[in-house]
This record gives sequence, C-alpha cells and structure tokens, in this order.
Amino acid sequence: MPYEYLENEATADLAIRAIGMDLREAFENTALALINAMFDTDKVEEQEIKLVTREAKDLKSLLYDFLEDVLYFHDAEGLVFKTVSVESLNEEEPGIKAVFKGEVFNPEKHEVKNSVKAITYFGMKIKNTNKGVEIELTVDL
Amino acid sequence: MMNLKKVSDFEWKMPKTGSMRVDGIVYASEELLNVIRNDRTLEQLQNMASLPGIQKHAIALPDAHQGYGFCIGGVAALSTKEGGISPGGVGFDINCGVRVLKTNLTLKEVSPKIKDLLDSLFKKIPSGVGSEGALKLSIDELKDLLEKGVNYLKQKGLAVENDIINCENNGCMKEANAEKVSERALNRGKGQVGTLGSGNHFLDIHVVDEIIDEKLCKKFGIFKNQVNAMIHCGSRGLGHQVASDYVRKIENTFPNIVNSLPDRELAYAPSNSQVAIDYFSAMSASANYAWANRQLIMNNARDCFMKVFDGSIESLGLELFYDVCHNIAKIETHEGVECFVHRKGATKSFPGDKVIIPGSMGTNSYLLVGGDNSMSKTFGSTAHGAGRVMSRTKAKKEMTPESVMKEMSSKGILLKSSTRMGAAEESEHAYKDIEEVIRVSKSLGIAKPIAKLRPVAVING
Repeated sequence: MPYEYLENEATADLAIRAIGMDLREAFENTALALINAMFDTDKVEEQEIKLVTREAKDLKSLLYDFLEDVLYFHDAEGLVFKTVSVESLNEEEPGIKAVFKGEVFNPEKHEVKNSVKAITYFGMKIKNTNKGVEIELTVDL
Repeated sequence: MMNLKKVSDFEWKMPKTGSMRVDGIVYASEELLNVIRNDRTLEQLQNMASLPGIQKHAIALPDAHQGYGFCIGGVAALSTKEGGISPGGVGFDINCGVRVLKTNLTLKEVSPKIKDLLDSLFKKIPSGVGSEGALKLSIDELKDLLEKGVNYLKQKGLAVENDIINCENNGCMKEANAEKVSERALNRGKGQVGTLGSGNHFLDIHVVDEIIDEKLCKKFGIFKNQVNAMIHCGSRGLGHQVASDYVRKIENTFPNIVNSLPDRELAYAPSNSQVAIDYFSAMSASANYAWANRQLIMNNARDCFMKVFDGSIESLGLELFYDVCHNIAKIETHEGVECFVHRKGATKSFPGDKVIIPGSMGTNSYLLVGGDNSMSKTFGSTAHGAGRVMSRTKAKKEMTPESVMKEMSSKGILLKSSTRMGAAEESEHAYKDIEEVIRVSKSLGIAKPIAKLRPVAVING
C-alpha cells in the first residue's frame, strides 16, 4: 500500500502516512488515503470530474488546501471521490493542478467509514527518504 | 516524563518553566492522570501556558486528551487586552455540544415501542449530506440563521420560546457576523442544518436511573425512570471551514507570531487585531449554526416521539432541559480581567448553571449543576465527557462492530449506527471511565451531579 493509518499517534483523530516516488505521487497517495478513510470507494463510479487548482505560500499549506477540497466537495456538492490524479505540482512557487473523479454520494449505495471534520497541521511532515517522498499528517475526526 | 507536583488528590501542578508564562494545572485523579500521561496532552498544556496574556494557569480537566494545538478538555483564559484568541483553542467543531430533550414518559411506557421510536429517529435524523430531514437553505437564509441562531428557527415555527430560554446563551451569540464567514464555509454549511454528522456524534435515548439531588431535579422536571433524548453534535462543515480559514488568515497576517510557536495549530490572533475581531464574529456565527443544528434535530426528534406515542409537545412534555456548548471561546471577566475564555472540550459551569456530561457509548451520562469552586479553579468550567484513551484506528483493531453490538445488547441497549465501523470506534473501551470523571468534578466542587442517566437506545452518527 502506498499509504497507512497510524496507531496511537492521535487519540481522537486519524493519522495518515503516505509515500510516493516523488512529491506529485506522494500528494496523490495522501489524497487517496484521505478518500479511502472517508468512504468505501469500491462502489463509487467515476461520473463527475472536478478540476482543482490551488496556490499557497508553502508546501504544507498547499497540501492542506488540496486535501481540504475533498471535504469541501463532499459537504457543498455531496460528492464522493474514487480517484485523484495530480496533473502538475510546482514546488518553487507552490501550486497544484489535480483532477478528482467520483459521483454524488448515495447513502443506499456508498458506505461511510469516517466523517473527517478538518485537515490539520498537527504532526504534518513532508520529507525525502530513500524510498521516496513521505507525507505524514493528522486529520480531525 | 513531564514533572508534575501533587497539590491534592485531584490537582496536579506543572510548574512554570522555559517559555511558560503561568503554571499548568491538571485536575484529575491519579487513575485518570496515568491515562492522560500516555499521549501528548501535557506537552499541549505546556504550550497553552506559554501563550501571551494567559491568566492564572492553563488547565487540563479530568477528561483531557491529546488534541491539536490545545489539548481537548483544556481551558485557557487569554486577556482581551494583552492576549489573543486562538481557533485551535476552540476546536474545529465550533460549538460542538450536547442537549437533552425531556419527556414525561417512563421507561415502562416507552419500552414496548422503543424499536419503533429508534427506527423513526434513525430515518428522520440524517447523519450527513443529501438527507431528507435537513433544512435546505439559500445563502441569504443561511446568513440570517448565522446571525439569529435558534431565533431564526423560532420565526420558521421550528422552535418554541422555551427552546430559547433553556439554551446556553439563549441559542445566539450576538457578536455573530455572517459577512465574516467565507463563501466556502457557507457552501459547506447550507445543506447540513439538521444533520448529526458521524464519528462521536450521537442521539441517545436515556432513562433517569438515579436522582442524586431531589430538590434540583424537581425544579428542573427530572424524575426517576423518566425517558429523555440526548443529542451531541456541532457546526458541521461550516464550523470546520471557519476554523481552517482563520488559522490560515492568522498565519498570513502574523507570520512572525506563528513561526515563534512550537505548533502551528496554536496560532492566535492578538487581541484588538482585526483578525481577532473577525474570527470572534465568524466563530459566533458558527456557534449559532450549531445551536440551530441541534434545535432542528431535536425538533425532528419531537416529531418522532409525537408520532410513535400519539401526543403533542405539551401532552408528552417534550421540553428542552438544557443545551451546552463544549467547544467555544467567550468574552468573560474573571477576577477583574476581561478574557477570551477558551473552552475546548470543556463545559461552562458557573455556580448554578445546568451542565450535561455525556458518557461514552453504552455508559451512563450525568446531569449536573456548576459548583461553587468552579470560578476560582477552572474559570467556571468542567469536563465535557469521558475523553478518549484509544485511537480510533486501534479501537477498530481491538473491537469488531459485531463484538460491540453484542456487548451493547447484553446490557439491553439498542444500537443503530450509520457507519459499520463507527460502533467499534466509539466503544466504551476507547474512552476513560465517566464515573471517575464525574467523581473528580464533584470532589473538586466544580460541578455537582444531580441525576444519573442510563442509555437504552443509541444512534451513532
């Protein structure tokens, strides 16, 4: 798995660790970890597409905003995603373009796993390792 | 290990060192303290104690556990002159809180129909988006609700006068300004008024198991074997977005402050800055949203009771006991100093105030009143619940939904959960002992239990 959920890191919350060959893939896998923590995505179909463009003053803020879009589109438009693809990611002037695919949530069809309230900076790490780029963060449940 | 000095059986002092401006105080029994030591609560308490303008001491209550920035079960009063206000000191779920709806029905009367009641409630009270019981609001209507709170619902015939009288702050913080709430937050909130959310949010049916203070129970209309409903939820996506928005605004406006903090989530807006005023206005609007949310859920619950027991609000005694918020900052004057009192996972408990402390799933809950010592010890606050001890991830590994179901049913408690794993995550084994939390509150004189409630049916959001 390109991501895992960590025990004992966060008493009331959910801690995620994701890894990717590069930053782009690490962002992608972190978003996937988030999406899969929220829903059972097996039955989610790719019927709707959301293009997300974000800029921020640093990488951590960028990650925060990018992940927050998953929460936003669920609350505001009732969307549940299945896939995410990061089209471009600029480290120098932090910016991201990504495509989320999914459909409108249907309680008869989709299983909710966790309701994520917010992304947090708590314990957020973006670091290079010999396996690639590793991201850790905690989301508030 | 963090150095704590025992002051009394229920009070432990973390002496001021390093960047701390005041001492930290943990109000807990030795048993609870040993649990509190297991995560980063004490480190977070130390960080709270380093904030500018902090008065007297930073506080961790008996149910304290690790949060982000401030610990949960934490209280910090920052001067409105030399201190500031911190979204991380309020929590992401602004005005997460609890209310209790009374009935005049006894368990004997309810038992034969308890399953119908639970099914009806489960159907009528949605956990999330796209559900029927939620109010559909335009952005303008939502803004009106944000500024009026429960009063907005009263105008729509969805609340009665007593619902306002029996709600903390009368269901409205007047400082609310909807213009300070972002479009993004408004969009997240417009379809969610009347939804429970999931995770630790719930709607329980309880029976009054023990009358502890006869006089006060009589005054408040609480009697032995009485059935009532308890609702626990908050400001949903709107409040979460407001919290995120303002952490970011503070970072952008005061980068030097944020960079000097040991944890980004401690970010605060200095008193009298425009950002502080804006956050307080937006937080107040979110608080109003949460009160309206719990009101609408209660109103839907009333409909269920009226349908299943064929009566009216009056004939079934469907009155609000009280509604408390446990994630909020308020402007209060303590010992002559006006402060932003941050209560994060903490309940206002001024002497005589009604207080509700819910237990974890399947355990007792308590109705209390604020104690005489709360003003001198805790800025008029007490605990907000049992407080977690086990991460959700770990709880799911150690308990299956089936084992939790079985345990609940062996106690005679009906359970419905909107998510399959939710029940396992919320198992009582993942929480501290509520009885111990109540015992500490009582012994310290910060809150006094008046009645014990035992759960009979649970809807886990």
